[in-house]
Amino acid sequence: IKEQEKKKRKTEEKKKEESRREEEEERLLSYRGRRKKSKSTLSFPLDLTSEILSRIPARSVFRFCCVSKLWSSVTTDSYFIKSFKTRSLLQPSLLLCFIKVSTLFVSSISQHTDTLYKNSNNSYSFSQPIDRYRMELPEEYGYFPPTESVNGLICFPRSSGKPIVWNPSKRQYFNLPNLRLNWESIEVFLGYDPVQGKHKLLCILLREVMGLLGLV
Amino acid sequence: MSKSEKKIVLKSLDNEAFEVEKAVALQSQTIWVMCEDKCVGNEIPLENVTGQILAKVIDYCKKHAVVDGDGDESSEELKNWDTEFTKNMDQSTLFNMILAANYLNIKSLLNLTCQAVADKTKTIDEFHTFLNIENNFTPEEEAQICQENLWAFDD
Repeated sequence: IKEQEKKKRKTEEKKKEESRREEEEERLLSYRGRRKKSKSTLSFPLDLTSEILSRIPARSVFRFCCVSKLWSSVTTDSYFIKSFKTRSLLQPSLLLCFIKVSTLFVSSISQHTDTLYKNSNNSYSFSQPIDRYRMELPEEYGYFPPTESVNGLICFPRSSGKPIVWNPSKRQYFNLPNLRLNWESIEVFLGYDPVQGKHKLLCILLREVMGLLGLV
Repeated sequence: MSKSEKKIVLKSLDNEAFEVEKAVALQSQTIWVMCEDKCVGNEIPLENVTGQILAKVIDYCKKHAVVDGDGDESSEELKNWDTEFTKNMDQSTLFNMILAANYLNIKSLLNLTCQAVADKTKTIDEFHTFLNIENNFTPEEEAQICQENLWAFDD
């Protein structure tokens, strides 16, 4: 009988605990509910966040990476990058850059396509630069003229040493993996694979190509 | 079509009813689909939108319905109207407008409001407060990610 009583007591205690827990949950819920009412934006859908982010300038996007982990992940999401690109294509800009020793000077100027046709004397009218900065490149080497922009990236081949792949809007360059051969006398091509959404760098050994040409 | 069929009543979350022309309401894809499927009567309850926001959405739809209809206003004028429309909205109204435009599926309004938020919101704190997002970075992580994007912060 004692054991039965013990069991009873135990189940009662359990029930009490459960009801206490439920109460607490309810309290929490109502608290959340209240917060929701006052702000009503507690759960802002992620796709809408990405909609907003794709409309702000690149510089601010990187600033807002620090908002939260979720936001930081949005900016590297392929859908976001795509819609950001589509939007920036609507506002073409001119990228001017020059290298002095190992410093790269960059300015980006918005290009008004309509003024291009209106002005009869072939002069262009430019507004203030959208963005202007300079960045240090790795060691001092001879840089060849850069490739054209391929889906947002630009490649600087060098007379010797690794070429540099540069992302102008992120102000970053990438460290390329080492080649089996050395980086001397190669021709570099930058390409983009829209299916995989990846950039690819093709290196051709100049000597080999010359050999081939000789055969033909 | 009888006269009563041309009108639709939209009912907000807080039970405010708005009677609008069908052409106005049908700019919302969500409502359009509802009407197409005949799954609603003349009164449509919108459970995610408050009366205050719904009134603004209807203002927008009315303006755009008229222009699409007879085209007596130039697109330039409409653009100016759009700018004025969002200019004096505070942030929380804007965010609620985005949610409403998304729920009601009105593409042009979603575009307009997202752009307005993007133009108005300048600091991280503004995003934190208005979206009520918790900063879930540890101080070390935050320092690192800020360091990585340091250039974005200097003026």
